Amino acid sequence: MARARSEAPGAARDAARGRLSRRALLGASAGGLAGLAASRLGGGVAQAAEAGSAKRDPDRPNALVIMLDRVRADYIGAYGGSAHTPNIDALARQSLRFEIALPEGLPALPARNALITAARTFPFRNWQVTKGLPAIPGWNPIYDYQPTLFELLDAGGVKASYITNNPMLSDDRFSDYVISTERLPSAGGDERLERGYLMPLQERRTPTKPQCDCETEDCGCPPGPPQGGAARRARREPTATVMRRALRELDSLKRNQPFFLGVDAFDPYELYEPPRAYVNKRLAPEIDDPFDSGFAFEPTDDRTVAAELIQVNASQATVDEVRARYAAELRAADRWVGRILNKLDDDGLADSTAVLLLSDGAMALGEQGIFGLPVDVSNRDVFRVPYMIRDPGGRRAGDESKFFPSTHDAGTTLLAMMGISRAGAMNGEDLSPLFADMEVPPRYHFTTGMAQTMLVANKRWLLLSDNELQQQRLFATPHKDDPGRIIERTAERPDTLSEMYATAIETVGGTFPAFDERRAVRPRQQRERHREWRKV
Amino acid sequence: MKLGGAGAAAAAVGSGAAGCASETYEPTVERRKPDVPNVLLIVSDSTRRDFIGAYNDKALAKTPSIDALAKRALVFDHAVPEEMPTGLMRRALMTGMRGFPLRDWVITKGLPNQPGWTNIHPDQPMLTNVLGNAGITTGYVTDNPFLVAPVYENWRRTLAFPDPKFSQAAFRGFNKPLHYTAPRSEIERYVLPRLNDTGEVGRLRSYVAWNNRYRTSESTYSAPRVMRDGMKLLERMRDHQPFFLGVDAFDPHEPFDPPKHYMERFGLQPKGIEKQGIIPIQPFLTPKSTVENMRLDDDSVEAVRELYAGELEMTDAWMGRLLNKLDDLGLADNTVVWYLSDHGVTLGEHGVLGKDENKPYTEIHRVPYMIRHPEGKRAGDRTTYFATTHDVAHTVLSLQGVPVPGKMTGEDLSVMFDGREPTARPYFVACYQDTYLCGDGRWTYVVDARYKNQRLFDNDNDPGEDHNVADENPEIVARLDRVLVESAGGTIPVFGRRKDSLRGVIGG
Repeated sequence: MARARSEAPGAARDAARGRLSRRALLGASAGGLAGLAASRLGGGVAQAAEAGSAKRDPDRPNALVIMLDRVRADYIGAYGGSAHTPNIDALARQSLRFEIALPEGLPALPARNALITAARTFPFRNWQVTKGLPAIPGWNPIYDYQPTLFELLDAGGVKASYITNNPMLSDDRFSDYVISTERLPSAGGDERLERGYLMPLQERRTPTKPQCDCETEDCGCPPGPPQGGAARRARREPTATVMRRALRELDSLKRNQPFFLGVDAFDPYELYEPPRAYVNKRLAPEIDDPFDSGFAFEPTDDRTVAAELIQVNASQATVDEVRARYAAELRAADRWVGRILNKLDDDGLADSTAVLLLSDGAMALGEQGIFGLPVDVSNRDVFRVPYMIRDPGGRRAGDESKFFPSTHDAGTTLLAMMGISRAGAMNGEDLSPLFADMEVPPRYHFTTGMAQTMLVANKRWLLLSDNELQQQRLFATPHKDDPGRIIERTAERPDTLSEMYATAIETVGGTFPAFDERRAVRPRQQRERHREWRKV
Repeated sequence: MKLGGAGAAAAAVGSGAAGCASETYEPTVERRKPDVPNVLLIVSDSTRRDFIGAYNDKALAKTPSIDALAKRALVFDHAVPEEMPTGLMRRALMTGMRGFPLRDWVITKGLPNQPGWTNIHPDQPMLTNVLGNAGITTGYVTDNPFLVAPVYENWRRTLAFPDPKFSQAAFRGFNKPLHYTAPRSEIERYVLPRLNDTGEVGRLRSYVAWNNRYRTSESTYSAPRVMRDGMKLLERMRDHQPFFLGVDAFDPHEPFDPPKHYMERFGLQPKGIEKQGIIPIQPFLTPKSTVENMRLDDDSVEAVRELYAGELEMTDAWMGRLLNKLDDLGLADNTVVWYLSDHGVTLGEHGVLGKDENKPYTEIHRVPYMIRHPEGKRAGDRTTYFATTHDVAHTVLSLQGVPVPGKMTGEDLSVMFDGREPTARPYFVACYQDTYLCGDGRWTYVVDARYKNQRLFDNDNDPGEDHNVADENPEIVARLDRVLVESAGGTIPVFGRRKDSLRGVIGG
């Protein structure tokens, strides 16, 4: 039952703050019921006249997906965060916002594949080591037997355009849909790029050399730039180049409605390239540092990027500095989101375009001493990503949902909103019934995977487990006043632990795969094992 | 819950006064949604495609009802159930989820201890549940011994009109409302010499006992009971539209014991073993035997095939009555009719009688499958699309305008009635327990989960799938095997040995 929601206060506030809301306010009351009926059944029930735009079919909204890079939900203003993100906040006020959303798989590439195939990649059973990519389970291109959003949209008469620098989409199959903005450095990267917000760690480790010739160290001369630091970052931000290209693309797409525009800045280096002082000892043996770098994936060859966990005993001041810089980067990304949304509004597309904003993955910023890929971190804030869907009719604007959505739900939801039947292999949930105040099938847990580690959680519990059950750790959710507290209950709650693990097993369809260096493998048959044993 | 859901769905269609969210009871008759068709799903067990006239001009059985339906339906020439046999197929049908490669098998009390035999897991969606929540009346009448057994109780609870028939379950050990068995003397004429001291004797005694007590005329045979109840339910559900009604007959499953007049066409002279006074209604030890082991000559096998044809003709005749009823009630114009089967049965081919889990060849894996659109769209058309079992849920939900849960991974075949094609499926991939099948129409590749016995058949030159040409065509084997493994998600699971059962799936 779609009841009229009170968009007014939020929308009025938006009107005062940004341009996007001005038109959205006009559109909000008109869409309502008609849009809802149309999107669900695609039948002739809806009255076309009500939806506002005369020239296009109101059954088929446009869709805009903004995939932000490594954005944590808890920093965004709309989620109560500290970063200055006025544009994302404005979008949130017009959207159905999901309080707890997790990327479908970590890090970076699995979630992107999940967005495009609208299917789960976890538990990465189809992983095979791919030339040019680090040997991380889940890091593989989209296989040719997997249906993608683009082809379905194309068959459904929707112009699909996906702007990214994700090198995995350079295949011929995607050439009609994907616009690559730039080539990333090859995997054997000539240059190691480091992230700005992790630089304070670097600065702490490698003392700066004064720019003077004084004999003594405490001469009082100003310090020079940190060695191997900021100068290396002179490069174009993928976010900026991708977003700029998207603005241009919108100009051509508005003549090709209905359209689908995906904007996806892919910046794999930032998660996997911690400051050089903290990379794996094997790769940087000269650094003698008391950090605990126990977790490293075997790189395919020495020159590819290895994903590493870095655990650092950084001072609180350093951690604060890292977080402040991260918030500043978010602010920059938010500005680009604002430009895109304003462009949408200026072109008169706001009332006919569904907007879905999400992020590919999370990262730790000093939680439990870890920076980067949040392996072994129990703090659930490091996994949460923003996830919001703006209905073109303005339904459920400003509402909040407790459903646990994930990356692969985005595609199926947008397809349903556009009235296109999804492919069977697309097992994402269709969230569009939420806009009609209908139920979606409940999802009591969220599950995601990072290589061989899986994370299962519900509101009360969080389980981190490896695929061979060697390490399972169960954590209780801390009180919201003290989110950083670690409450481990592995020993105390074996029943809960096995219950959570059973849930995970259900999610992956019965068994969790085992991996060797190159692919997922079958366990050997008992009889074969026995035979081998007898040979010995 | 149900009424609330119905209200929401009604609003979504735009019928009724928008905005009336009253919680009060509304008479169900007024809940008719003009655009939502009803669905009548007819399932017959163990039905071979080549025994049906619509698929085979020289079919041994006469199936006028199915043939007539085929003339008005989109007929799938190459449908393969994605998991077989009975219990597995029903689970895929109800959940809309692909069961292949049976990675989620859990050994389940009350079901055979064979790979894949498990009940619907709590986290799996159920077609009838989703429909019911959306305000569609659901009914299901079946005599399938698994569906009426306790393991499917949770599923039956999702139905507004559950209608279990115990006529088949009574003698199959899954459910025993009947504690009476016929004396041995009464079944002597059905027992093959080689089955003298086997479990079939007890089963036949229960079977004959049931017949003695409850089978008085043709209409009290198992399949007619199901179809008659389907007709009654149609009458009742006419006032509860839109509806989804499943009519799932366990026939023509063995014992092949049709009323005599269906056999008159074949002549009433005894053939083969019938000359010794034995009617081979149960010609194998469940689930399979070899012809050699049963000591049956060609005439006897022919007699078995005729008995099977008779059983199928009875099912077909009563299916016809059900479809006529649909017409008489004026429901034909807004009801989708879907007919399919769960698997076939081997009747002497490859020297096998019954269902050999190691040999799920063409007789087993090719089934009838047809969808009749109420507006007559694509009537009489044929397609080679590899339609399968788990497509039913997605398509039915799509036809009835209900959001489809993401876990239902079948294709939406309803787009075929809108002039489009569903997502390409260049290969069919299926399994009969832990024997896997993969084919592209030209080649069929069969392998067991242990990879001990790889077989390849050239369907163009060897339609009966008698000659294994795997050794001659290693590259085709490799291609089809790759497709099989990819479809399984990346690995084929490893199953525990059946004898030391308790571990179902080991991993992979």
